[in-house]
Amino acid sequence: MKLIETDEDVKCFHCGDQCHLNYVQFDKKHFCCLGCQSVYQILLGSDLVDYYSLESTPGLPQSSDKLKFNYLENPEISSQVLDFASESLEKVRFFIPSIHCSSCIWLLENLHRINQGVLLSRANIGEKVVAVDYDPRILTLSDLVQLLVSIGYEPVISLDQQEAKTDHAADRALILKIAVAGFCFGNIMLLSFPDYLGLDLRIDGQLASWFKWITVALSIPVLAYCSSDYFKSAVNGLRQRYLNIDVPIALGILALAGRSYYEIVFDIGTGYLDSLAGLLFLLLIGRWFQHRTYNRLSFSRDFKSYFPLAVSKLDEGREQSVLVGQLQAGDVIMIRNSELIPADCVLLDEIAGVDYSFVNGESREIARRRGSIVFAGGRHIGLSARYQVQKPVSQSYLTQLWNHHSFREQKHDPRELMINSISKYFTVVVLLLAFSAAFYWLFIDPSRSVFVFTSVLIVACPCALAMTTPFTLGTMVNVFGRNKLYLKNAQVIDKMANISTLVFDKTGTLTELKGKMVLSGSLTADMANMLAALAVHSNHPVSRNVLLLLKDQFNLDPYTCVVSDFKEIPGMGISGKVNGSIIKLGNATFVGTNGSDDAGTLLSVDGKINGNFKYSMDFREGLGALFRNLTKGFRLALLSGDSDYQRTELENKFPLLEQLSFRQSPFDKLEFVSNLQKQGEKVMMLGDGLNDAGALQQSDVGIAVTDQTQHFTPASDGILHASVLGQLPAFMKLARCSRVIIVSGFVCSFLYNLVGLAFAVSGNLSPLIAAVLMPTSSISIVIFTTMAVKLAAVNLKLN
Amino acid sequence: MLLIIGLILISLGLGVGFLVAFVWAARTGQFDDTDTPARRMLFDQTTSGKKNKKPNGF
Repeated sequence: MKLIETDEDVKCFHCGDQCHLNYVQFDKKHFCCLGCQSVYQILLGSDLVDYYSLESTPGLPQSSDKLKFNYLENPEISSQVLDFASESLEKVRFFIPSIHCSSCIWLLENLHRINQGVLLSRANIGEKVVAVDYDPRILTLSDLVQLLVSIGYEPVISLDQQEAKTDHAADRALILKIAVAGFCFGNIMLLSFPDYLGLDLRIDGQLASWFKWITVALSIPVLAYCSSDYFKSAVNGLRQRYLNIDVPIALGILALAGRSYYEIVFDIGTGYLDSLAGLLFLLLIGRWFQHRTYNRLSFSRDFKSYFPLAVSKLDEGREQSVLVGQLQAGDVIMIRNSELIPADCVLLDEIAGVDYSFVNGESREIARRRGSIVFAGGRHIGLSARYQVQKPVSQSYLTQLWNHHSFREQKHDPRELMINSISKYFTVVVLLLAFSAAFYWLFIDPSRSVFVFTSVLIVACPCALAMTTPFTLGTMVNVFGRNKLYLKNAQVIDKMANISTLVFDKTGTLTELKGKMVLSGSLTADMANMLAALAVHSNHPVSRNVLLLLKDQFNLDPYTCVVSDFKEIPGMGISGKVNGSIIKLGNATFVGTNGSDDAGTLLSVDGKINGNFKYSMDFREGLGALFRNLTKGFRLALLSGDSDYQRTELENKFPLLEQLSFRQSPFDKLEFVSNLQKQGEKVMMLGDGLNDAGALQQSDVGIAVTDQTQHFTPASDGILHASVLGQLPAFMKLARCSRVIIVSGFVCSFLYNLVGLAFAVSGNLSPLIAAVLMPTSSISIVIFTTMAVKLAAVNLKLN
Repeated sequence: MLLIIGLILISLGLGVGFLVAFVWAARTGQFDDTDTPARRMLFDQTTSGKKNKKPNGF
């Protein structure tokens, strides 16, 4: 292995990234960093290089800081992570976001060739989950995780894995209900054919009654099993004293079943059991369609999913792994490089770097000295350091947010949904109609009065009405998903249609970190060469980005320089003697000045500060157009946790913003949103970091904006890929279209109902008419709504 | 007539049989992941060990 000096266009054999100045050559292959090279080395050692032949460059770029998984040794934690544990076999399922191709599956299912302790591993590419059975006598859980990390598949471990499993069960139950309803529907229809064709089965009465009783038998699972959800929901609604959409559905089902059984038992007619089964079949399909969501994206994370499960506590000098929730004020904990600080703490050691990017989206290392308070959520950078816990985790600055009452309230009151507000009137009107028709027939022909009453309920049963919303919103969720806005559920669209104010977070939402450094200060070509010669030896991202910058600006030839005494201190910087001068590149303390915390990475030559490097924070592209488009329909506001040094720049750049607020704490943001709501605004918040979590929760619609959908999104109603932020106006318009489409669907189904009601009220509803009318209306509504949504999306230039 | 009723019962029984098969398959999770097996079947069955390192040419 050796470091290569040239900089031609070379792609990393492992991850396909561009190889930069200090790439690595190994086994006649090029790697962009030591991380990628070491993965290759491990695979080569285990004879698993087929990994690279299945797909080209299947790996993902390796980050230089690996987290520690020692806490998995703690039996309390491992028992929560494991699915099954015995002396010789343990089973575990990991969620690994980086699973993305066939090579991943192949490698993860061949883990046993790397370590004999693995007995069986199965990957699921759709859910990005790998299930591993292993022998705990050969391989411990933390070693297994370490093994996955070493080949580039770092699992995300959290304790709420239980959730995902119950979701599965609900999905399956719905599919089974659809299967049963479909089976019964088909068979009941077959047995009803003599009816449809008007054949007189009374010639052989026995055959006719056999047919009828078999349909009765087939209808029982439909009534008892398939429709249970509707009855439950209707009863729940009635208990809370409101009429939801399931009340008229339940009424219709009961009327259909009751009338059919009555007719069959007293041998009056053949009933409407085919309509009943068909109705449920279609309703359940609608429900399934609406419920297909992005179950691998997490929409309801609280602080527990972010913080480490356990930390090392120092107990009389001994390190001991304790659960984060058990930390008490006064405990001394040991935090290693790039671990998250779980509670508000005081630093006990001399110096440490803390990066709050996790909290505020701004990647900036801040130096902290002994005795200073460090808030929860910061990432510790540098050598391991001791911290003393000030407050238990649940009471710390950040997690207090989660105890705010807005997190405890149920965010979406189903009563507010348009469909439920309409169904209230619908039910009342239908009941009135049914009663008055029955009353009318009481005078003309009392014997038919009950029949007319049930007929009205059957026909008016809002099958079409109940299909309109799920299919409109379900199709819309899919359209949004294709355009990289992933919504938690279909109800969010209904909320989005109402929004009047948009609130943006600045850092991380409107700005993006490009990974590019900016140099302030002037460098001579000589100095640039010397610095490059030094930086080549470091694999730290900052060093690599400094190199990139130097390469852009200077004609480098670093290999003429002689480097000696190279030193790299994690979290501090690098230093060395180049051509006789001592060059230091690192934070303020490292280079030996009292510079402010946000000075970035400083460069000193022979003790003299020569300039500094900073990551540039750029506004995302197209923001001006975005605000111009949005200002036509919405009030806009911007919140930022930063100081207001960018105020004038922002005001000049985006004059359309109505309100700009700076130095906003997570609580201020939450309050800001709730004040807007008190003024009667419907607020949509777009944010990214943990510090927006409160505002996202408080707002009517909270959207998390992120560059990587599988990572770090606070609890929200939707996740928006940052690259499509510019499409936001189109998304809002499409959401508003949903109302128009749903209302026109309602009108259509109302027209169908009018036709049916005409039959019903006049007492002429034959089973054949019911059997034709009900599915036709439902299916035509389904076609109408899906087509309308697709047309609207095409009009708005969405995929 | 008895014949027709018998036939209907047989056809229903067949249908129920397939329904039960479907329920069983869904319950044991056979529809949970439809993507991975489709990719997995394309892997070459090389056993571990250096001898089989090179797959036979096509």
